[in-house]
Amino acid sequence: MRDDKTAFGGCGFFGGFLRRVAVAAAVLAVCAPAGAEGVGRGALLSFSCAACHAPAAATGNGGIPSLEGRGAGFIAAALRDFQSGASESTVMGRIAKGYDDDEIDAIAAYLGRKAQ
Amino acid sequence: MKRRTFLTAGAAALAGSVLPAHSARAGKARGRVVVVGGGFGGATAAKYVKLLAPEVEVTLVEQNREYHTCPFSNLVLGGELPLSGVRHGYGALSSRYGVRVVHSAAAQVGEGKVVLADGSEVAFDRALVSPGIDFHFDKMPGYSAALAEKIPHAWKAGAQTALLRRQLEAMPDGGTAVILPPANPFRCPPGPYERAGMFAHYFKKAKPRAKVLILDAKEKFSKQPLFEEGWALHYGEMIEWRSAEAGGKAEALDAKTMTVETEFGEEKADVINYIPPQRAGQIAHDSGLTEGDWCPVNTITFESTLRPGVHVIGDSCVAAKMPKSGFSANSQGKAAAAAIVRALSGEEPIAPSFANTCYSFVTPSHGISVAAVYRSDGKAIQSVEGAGGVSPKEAGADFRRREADYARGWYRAITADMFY
Repeated sequence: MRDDKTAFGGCGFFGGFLRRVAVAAAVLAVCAPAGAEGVGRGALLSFSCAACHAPAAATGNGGIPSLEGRGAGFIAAALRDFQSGASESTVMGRIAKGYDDDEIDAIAAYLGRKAQ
Repeated sequence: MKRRTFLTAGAAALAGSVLPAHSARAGKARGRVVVVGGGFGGATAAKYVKLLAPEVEVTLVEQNREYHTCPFSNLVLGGELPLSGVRHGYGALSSRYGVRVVHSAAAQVGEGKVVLADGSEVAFDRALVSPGIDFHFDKMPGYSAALAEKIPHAWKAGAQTALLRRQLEAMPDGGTAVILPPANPFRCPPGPYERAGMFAHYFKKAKPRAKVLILDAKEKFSKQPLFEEGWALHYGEMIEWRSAEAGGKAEALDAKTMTVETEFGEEKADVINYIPPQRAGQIAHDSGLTEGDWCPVNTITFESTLRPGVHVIGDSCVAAKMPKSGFSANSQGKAAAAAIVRALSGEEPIAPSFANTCYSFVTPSHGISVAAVYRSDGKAIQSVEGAGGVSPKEAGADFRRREADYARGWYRAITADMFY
């Protein structure tokens, strides 16, 4: 027995998700690369973020916040607070400790570029 | 054409709003990229090459029209998700991003061309191969590829997942389901243990006298203290794990009598989930990309050290210390896409950074994780010291629930990153 629904196309687990992602894709997510100029250091450091932080239209309740629309200052401060433990977290503290000051600035500049 | 109009409009909108003024420059990358394999590595890489360099022609060769993710397939086994909940299609890669998707098996990566099963060829300037795993079906006496229809591995999601779920449903209360995880390295190190919890989650509701027995080829496993803490909390004695030395090492299977032979005696089972040892996908072996079971690569560009111009990512490549996980493959797919675009532009590679966060469910509302950040030192990929690690022990129900929620958020995000 099988049906031909897909995870996001059907009415099941993630119902309605596909339509919302389609809208998000039209404006492109903050984590998505920005064209050929984006193949720099900030982009390469930031690509990992998109594996958990979805476009705003694709995030679910109680889930992981989108980074869309967040400015560089916000992102840099958030990463430093996770790193120091000033912000409580489940996993972000463990991840933020993997980046030095320069790298945090590069990530923040890349992810925050749209909000500038 | 409509697609063309959409892409052009999209690119224009992008340039207007996103490009930082100081570095804005039209991409000069040109050429043809063929990606073989549309899983976590290949789908991601195909999409990112198009995003980074829209002028590059990208062809994705994938034999299946729909893809079932291994991540979250244990929830299908536990009765928490229908199989359609882990099913994805390739439509958006084609319509939204301009990837040419060819649904055909690939036979070989030749010189400058990928040869398809029907003998036709797709020419490339750079190839990216992400074939996942194939199995060693001949390492366990009494087992064979054909017996996977009776003793499913369910280590590639889809029909095997559905088969194993049906077997669990048909199992009598009081029965035993045996899981036989392989030795390292293998795809998804915490996967067999998440699976044990999802079996138990289903049994607890539907057949409370049933048992899950893990007969392991190893002495320890990923996130072990967290799994054991969670199992004891939620399932009491229902899950038993035996290390290789404590009699866990299986020496033979008998599919007729449904018996597992170990050094310490025979275990009778109602369901056997044998996860065979693994190797790079067959096409990697057929294309001269392997040394032993796996594919050696430059850990900055993922270009094969054996075949210039051909990149290998995901479970097939040697990327230790990154685990063989969907997250790793996604992370490598982006790094390889960037390396390919830079190479096609005549630019030197930039050392990437990688991440991996593996969430596992103990119950649908009890999540645990292991995370790491990685860098290449030019030879191997190392985890950044002082970062990463596993969820804390004795963290409390609220922490576990948040990680279960985040696991679901991760699944949405990463599948959106790959396919939508």
